Amino acid sequence: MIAGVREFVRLQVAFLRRDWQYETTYRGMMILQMLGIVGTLVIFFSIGKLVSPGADSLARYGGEYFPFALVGLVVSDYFNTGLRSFSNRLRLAQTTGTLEAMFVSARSPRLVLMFSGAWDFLIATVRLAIGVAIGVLLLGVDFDPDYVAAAIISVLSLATFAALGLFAAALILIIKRGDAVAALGNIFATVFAGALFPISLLPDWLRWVAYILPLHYSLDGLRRALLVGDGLPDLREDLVALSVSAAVLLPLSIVGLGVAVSVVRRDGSVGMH
Amino acid sequence: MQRRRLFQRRSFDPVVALDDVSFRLDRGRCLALVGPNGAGKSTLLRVLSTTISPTRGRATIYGYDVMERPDDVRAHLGFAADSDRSFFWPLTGMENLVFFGQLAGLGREQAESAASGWIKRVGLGRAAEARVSGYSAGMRQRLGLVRALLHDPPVVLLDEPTANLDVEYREVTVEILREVLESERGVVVATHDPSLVSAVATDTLRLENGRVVPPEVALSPKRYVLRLAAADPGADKGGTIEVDDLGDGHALSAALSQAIASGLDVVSVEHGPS
Repeated sequence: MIAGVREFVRLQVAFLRRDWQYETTYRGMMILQMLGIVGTLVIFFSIGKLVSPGADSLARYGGEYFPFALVGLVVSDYFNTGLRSFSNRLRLAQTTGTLEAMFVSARSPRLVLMFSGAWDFLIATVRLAIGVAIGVLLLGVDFDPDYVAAAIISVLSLATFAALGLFAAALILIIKRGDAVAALGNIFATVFAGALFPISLLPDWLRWVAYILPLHYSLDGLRRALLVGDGLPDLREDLVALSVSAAVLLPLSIVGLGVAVSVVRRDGSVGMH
Repeated sequence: MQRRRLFQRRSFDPVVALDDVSFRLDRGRCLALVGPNGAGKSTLLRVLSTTISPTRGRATIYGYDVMERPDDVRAHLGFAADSDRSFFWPLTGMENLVFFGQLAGLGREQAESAASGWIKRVGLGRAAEARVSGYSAGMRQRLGLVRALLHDPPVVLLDEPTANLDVEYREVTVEILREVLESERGVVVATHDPSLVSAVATDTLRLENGRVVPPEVALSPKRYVLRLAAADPGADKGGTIEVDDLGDGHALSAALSQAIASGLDVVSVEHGPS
């Protein structure tokens, strides 16, 4: 068991090292990404000044728009990372021709694909840390966190987002294209799940879309845990929704990925893109 | 290693890529897969490496079925594909080898140590610290051979391992493969290179349109003598060259194309001494 965990960690570190070596050859892009965070936060900080404090729609999140948007931005960034990381890495490996080389290694192709996504999550965490640090230190955001609730919601959200990402990767393995999936995810995140505005502002007939999206429960739960200190009993609805999502989607996505690997083996298209 | 009556039909392209192919390979032996382009040699290697599933039939490596136990099969394999795009180009040769070595089950230090020995052996030396994007096709091919051998797999699959190599590194490759065979490992090599076949192959399987050509029908290797003359009367480039062909005309055709591209006229083509 311990040897298995050690081997798992060793391999994950090998993938992270490879991605570090790969990405640091594009340092300019990394720096631009980090600068982009500052620009985005300043925009939403300014928009926050236009929104009257204490608006009814923001009451359950502390009444201020910018803290609401800050959490929305970092959580939706994580969501997009989850949705796109595995598929982007897979697509890169398909187009550069390294996918087949990794698939003939002693490791299961499913494991190879799962390890491949970790770098993007790591970078998303760095972006989150930078965003929160700028929000708190420079733009005056005042968190009132319940750490336990925030941690549990984060873990469940991460598992759910990763599962959706593995589904996307399975799809791309077979159809070889995935931009549409990512674009759709982005729209859902920013519009329907309430990343940038409360869903109570949506027309009634559109609000139901948010309730079927796991991202909505992540946003709601994390905002309440971080901004107004709601604890686990207050967040029961979000916790149940995310637990069910993670419990159902994660195993299904791993099975789905296995099916996709079998399909491309059968039709001989592993090396195609 | 055993393959019994394998078939592979590609669903994206209704072609029977392999049709009723069977063979057995024991330790210390090298099977050369020969035949024209599109004969099914690479597909056969991909079935053995588990990246393509046979639509019918059975293949086992070390007793593990490629369909039922693909992870165990790959744990016993080293595979060098014909594609030179199988490396992370922004990484150095060494970084690539260490990464793939770890994927193959080696520890980081083990992978570094094994890679260091091999890269000297195949003449990459200091180039291993340069990015693969700057490598020539031949250098990437040598890197591919090292990747296939890095973890000492008992079965080695090679697709056109000498296609981009000059004479010096062809000889190095032959020398390495002989050592692999002496260490009781099995090698399957798809090739158009007659000198590689004659140097290392203990068995030969000729494929055509996905089917095995029986030995009594299969073409035997031939030697040709080409008389060449300079196309420009003032030039003095004529002469005679000998070409070893596997019997499929591939090497002969390549030599004729090269001669014509070099500005030479082909005066005659004759069978040479075998």
